[in-house]
Amino acid sequence: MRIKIIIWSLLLIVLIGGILLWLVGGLAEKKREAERLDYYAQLIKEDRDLQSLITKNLAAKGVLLELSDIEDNLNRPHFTVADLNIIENSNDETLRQYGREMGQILNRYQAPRDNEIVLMLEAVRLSQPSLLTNLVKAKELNELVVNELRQVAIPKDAQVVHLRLLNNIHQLTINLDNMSAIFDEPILALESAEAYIKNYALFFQAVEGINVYFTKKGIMFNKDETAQIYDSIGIISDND
Amino acid sequence: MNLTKQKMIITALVVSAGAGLIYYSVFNDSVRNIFAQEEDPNQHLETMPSLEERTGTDQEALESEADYIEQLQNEDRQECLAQAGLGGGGEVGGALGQAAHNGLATITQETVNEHLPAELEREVTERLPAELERGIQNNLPDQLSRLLRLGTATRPSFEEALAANLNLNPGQTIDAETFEQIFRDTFTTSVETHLPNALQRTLNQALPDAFGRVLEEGLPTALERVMTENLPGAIETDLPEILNRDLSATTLDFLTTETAGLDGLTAQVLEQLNDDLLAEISTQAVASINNQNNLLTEDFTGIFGEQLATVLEDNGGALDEIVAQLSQGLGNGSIGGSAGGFVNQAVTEILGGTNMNQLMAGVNNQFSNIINTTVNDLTGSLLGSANGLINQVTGSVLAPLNDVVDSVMGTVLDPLNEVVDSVMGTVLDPVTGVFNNVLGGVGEAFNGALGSMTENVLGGLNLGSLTGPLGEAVGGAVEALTGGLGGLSLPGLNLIPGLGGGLYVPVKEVDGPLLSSNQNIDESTKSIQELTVQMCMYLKSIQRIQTAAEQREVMENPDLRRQAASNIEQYRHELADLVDRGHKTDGEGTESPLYVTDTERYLREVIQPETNQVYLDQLEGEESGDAFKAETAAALRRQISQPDIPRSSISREVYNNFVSGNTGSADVFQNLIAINNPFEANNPATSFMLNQTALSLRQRQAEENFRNELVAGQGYLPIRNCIEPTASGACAKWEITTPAIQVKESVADAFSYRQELYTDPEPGDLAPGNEPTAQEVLSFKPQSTGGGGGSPAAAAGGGGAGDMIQRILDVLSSLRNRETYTAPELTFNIAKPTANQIAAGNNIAVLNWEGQGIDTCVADNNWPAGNPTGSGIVPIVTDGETLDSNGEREITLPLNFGVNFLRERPGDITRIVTGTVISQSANDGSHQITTITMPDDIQGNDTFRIALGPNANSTSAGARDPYSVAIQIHADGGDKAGMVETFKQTINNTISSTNENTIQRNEFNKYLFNFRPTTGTITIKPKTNYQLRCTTNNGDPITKEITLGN
Repeated sequence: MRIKIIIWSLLLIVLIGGILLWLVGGLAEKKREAERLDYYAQLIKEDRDLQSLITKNLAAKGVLLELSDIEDNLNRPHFTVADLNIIENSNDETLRQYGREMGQILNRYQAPRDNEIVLMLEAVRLSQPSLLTNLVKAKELNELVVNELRQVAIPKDAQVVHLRLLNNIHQLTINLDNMSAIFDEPILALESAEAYIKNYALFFQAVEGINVYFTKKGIMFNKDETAQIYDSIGIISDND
Repeated sequence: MNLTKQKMIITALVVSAGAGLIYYSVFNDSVRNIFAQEEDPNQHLETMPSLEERTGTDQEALESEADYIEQLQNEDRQECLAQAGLGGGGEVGGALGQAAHNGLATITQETVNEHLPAELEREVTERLPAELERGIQNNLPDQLSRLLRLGTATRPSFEEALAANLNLNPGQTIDAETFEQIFRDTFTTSVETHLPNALQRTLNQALPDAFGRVLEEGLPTALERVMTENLPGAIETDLPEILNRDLSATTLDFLTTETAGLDGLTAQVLEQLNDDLLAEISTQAVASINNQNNLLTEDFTGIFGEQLATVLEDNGGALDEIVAQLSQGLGNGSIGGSAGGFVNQAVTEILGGTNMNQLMAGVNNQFSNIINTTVNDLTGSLLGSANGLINQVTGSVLAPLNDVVDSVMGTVLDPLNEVVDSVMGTVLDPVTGVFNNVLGGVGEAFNGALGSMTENVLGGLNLGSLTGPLGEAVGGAVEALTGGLGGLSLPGLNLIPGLGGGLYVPVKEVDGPLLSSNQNIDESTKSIQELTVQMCMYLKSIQRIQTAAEQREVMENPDLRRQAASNIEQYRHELADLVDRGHKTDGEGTESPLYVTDTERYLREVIQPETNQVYLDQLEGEESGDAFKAETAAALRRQISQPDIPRSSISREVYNNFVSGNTGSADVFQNLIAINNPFEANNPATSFMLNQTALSLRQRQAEENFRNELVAGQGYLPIRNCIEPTASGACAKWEITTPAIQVKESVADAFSYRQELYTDPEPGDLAPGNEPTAQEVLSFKPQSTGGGGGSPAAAAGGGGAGDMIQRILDVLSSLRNRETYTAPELTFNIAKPTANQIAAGNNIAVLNWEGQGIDTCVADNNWPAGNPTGSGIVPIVTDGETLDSNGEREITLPLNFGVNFLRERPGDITRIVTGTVISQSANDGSHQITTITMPDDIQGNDTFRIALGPNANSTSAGARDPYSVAIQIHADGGDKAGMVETFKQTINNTISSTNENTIQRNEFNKYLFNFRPTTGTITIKPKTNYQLRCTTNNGDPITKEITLGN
């Protein structure tokens, strides 16, 4: 009899254990299934949000603007030498003064700021236009720099490198303006973001042009006169 | 059941259950995962919503949708990765390096595809006979020997042969001579029977093996020969073209960026600079690559060989495998064409060849020698063991067979080459097919050459007289193009791949006397490449959604389809009109049909007169050196205008006097010789003859050219423009803008449109008047009843009995009047200015409309024309204005307009943004787009005003100028976005006002507004559509619309 009880007890324990393990396994399955459904739901939601955004704009305007609609290679808005404040006769002191002012102006880029491309993509992914506020700030920062670069007194032989930098930042400003309109003109914004990366790379080339200019002139600056430029989209570190 | 049995059963149950649990625990991922999870596994149990609940639709459909989206995104990702240069590609410097890399890979692949089969065939033809002969020597004796031994069972036994020949009894002896003869005959018969079989078996085995070995050894040699003999020429020919094609836009982009702001650089100058720079770069690139020390040395071929081997291995198609597949295919007949495949064909040809007799004779001759020796040793009692003797002697008999094979096999295998020739194409298909798949990667072999190529291009680049700022700018563009001195020699210089079609931009850390860079070291942020791919995927999704939306709208909206049908009908009419008068026949633009109605007449009335006129214009021109050109031209004209039969210009009497010496002339002898020189136009006769001959030649050439052109165009003529008119208006040189065959195909498409429409109709397609009709083919004109079948109501089957009766009456009426009845037609076209005309300051488009059977026409909207001074869009025709049934209007372009954005504070009016042209349409410069940006400084009592129209730019008076029209709003504490929203509502309300008489409504309706609250901007551009509404003689309306620019 005792043996029977022991055996039936063992059987019961094994049975209960099996059922428990079965249930626990089922929970894991359900969790994985839930994750899969979450992913699918997110996929569909993002796709529908995008569809809604596009169809809404299409219904309102009939057609979505593309970058080529508003600019091409030969028709980009740009400044000319006539827009610059050129000094005809320069000496070491005027060169140094130019450098100091350039340092002050470009030091506006020193503070870390959000990656503009990520801001735009996150805004559209999460359907949150408020995230574009920092993009507008970045555009305004560039506008400020453009205005200051136009006013600074430039030695005549620095006009080419200066103009290159000025037009580059101006182009970045236009790109940022278009990027901040991602909810109104999504194609234009995304194409402008691609152009932004390219122009951002050219921006560092233009900055290097300023350095090369002063190196050729043999002019050095104190630490507090120099400027550091923050690479917000990681274009330098990205390529190490 | 006793206790022991019970225990056993229970124990078995427990063990089974335990084992089951252990199995479940060990092998079931779910259970394993439970123990690996830290979070509460129950958290999803209670609340897990279905996908249906998450998205509100059927779960199965949604899963399917999600799968579909995922699949599309995966495809997009692959394409975007490839575009971003993350799917492969070399680390060669700059856009130039990338373009050269891609170009070289393409050229290599095409060159190999073109030349490898021939080279490989050459290798096979040269090597295969020797390989095959070696295989036959190794195998044929064994095969023959085996067949001879086996043959004893099937051929007559030796005893039977003796009995049959001599009628001998068992034990009876024979002389050696008789025995030898019988033995020889029997053996020879066996050899003759079995040699072909042996050879066939040998070939079946040896040929695929030999072919495989030949390919294995010959392929690298053939490939190397292609690389060294064919590739350099191909590079020289094709690479400049590829570089020009791939780099033109990028170089222009860099040049534009670098030269931005430099004075005096027009678009034309930049494009010329771009062309010159690319030509110079291409020259240097080709010179660098073709440098013997650079590309075609062992270094290169070694690299190439390594790459080839790697590529073949990487692609799972190693040479061994290719050869094995080939051998197998050759053996089983699946490769090598029909009739049993390559091997069967080869064996048949060889065995059927006349040289087989040579082989047979050689073999028999060898037997004779051996048998002679062998028989001498035999005794009369050998009869019983004769069969065994055959087996014994076979080995020694066949031993010298290799010598025989050596001596005759070359000629025996002659047919093989023919077989190889005939089947080589199909045999080599798999080989070249494999190369198609792998040669893309072989381009990597060029990396070494390309690295130095970039440096060589930079070193050898001759920028000529480009110095100063322009020289620096061009140098900057070249540096950007090459990735900055090749992207290799400067420390810290890196490349960003993936910026649009393989564009590389060099980026390095900045660290100079004034400026330095600090990097974003946020590890969580995504890389540029990832972001680029993500943006690319968004763009692809948007394009897909946009396309789907447009398609859906067209498919689901019958009105749109009717509109599309109406537009197609208009196109068909325009095309038919173009075909009727699109071919220019002279330099003054005289037009004729785009097809030939009568070839001989066309030749007589168009081709020959044109040829004659061009010739006469050139003969009479200042550059002609013919002293008698006036007389000759007059004579040619007479000849051209008169019958072909010659006429005498002097009488017989005058001629007789001259030849009899009654002229009294004392001219110098030399002059006489010169005058009579038949090859120079030194007298009227030779002048005429020479010119006549030249004219005849031109006529023949013109006629031949025309006939060729006519055949190529299948009866149609090209659309062409005269680029070299002569003095009289004929044309010496034409430029074809649309080939005749394109005209023909467009016409065919247009005339088959209705038939295709009815073959697979969509909603809105089937409507009275849309049906195909043979009348179109008969008259070669689209029938004007088409285009959506008239009104939508009629198309939708509406209209009722009244309409039906009216239609019947119309039909009866048209039948009664059909002799004079002309179907109403209306064409409405616009001729836009060419780029040259725009450059010349003649930026004018011409609207033209022509009607047949039209009663009245009116403008259905304001037809805007630009004002170059930018003071406003002035309609040249106002909405509702009556027009003739035929007419034209000139539209001055671009459509510039004045716009003023004013802020008014008490005592202060400030113009914030004037009507600055931000950009014009990229394509045709047809209209202006202006962007207004809201200011940062907005105060509660501010009033903002957008003014349009004449004098809108006037600052002080502009706000209240009676000729400008303004919409104003009050700030009332709003921000930039709020201001844009308020403007949006106000302007939209104004535009949609039902009061047609307000100036504001009418003026603002001339423009399209795009409001962007998020950026605080408003974009304004003029509406550029022109609507024409006419009424036919029957009272039916016909409307046409043309849109200018984007």
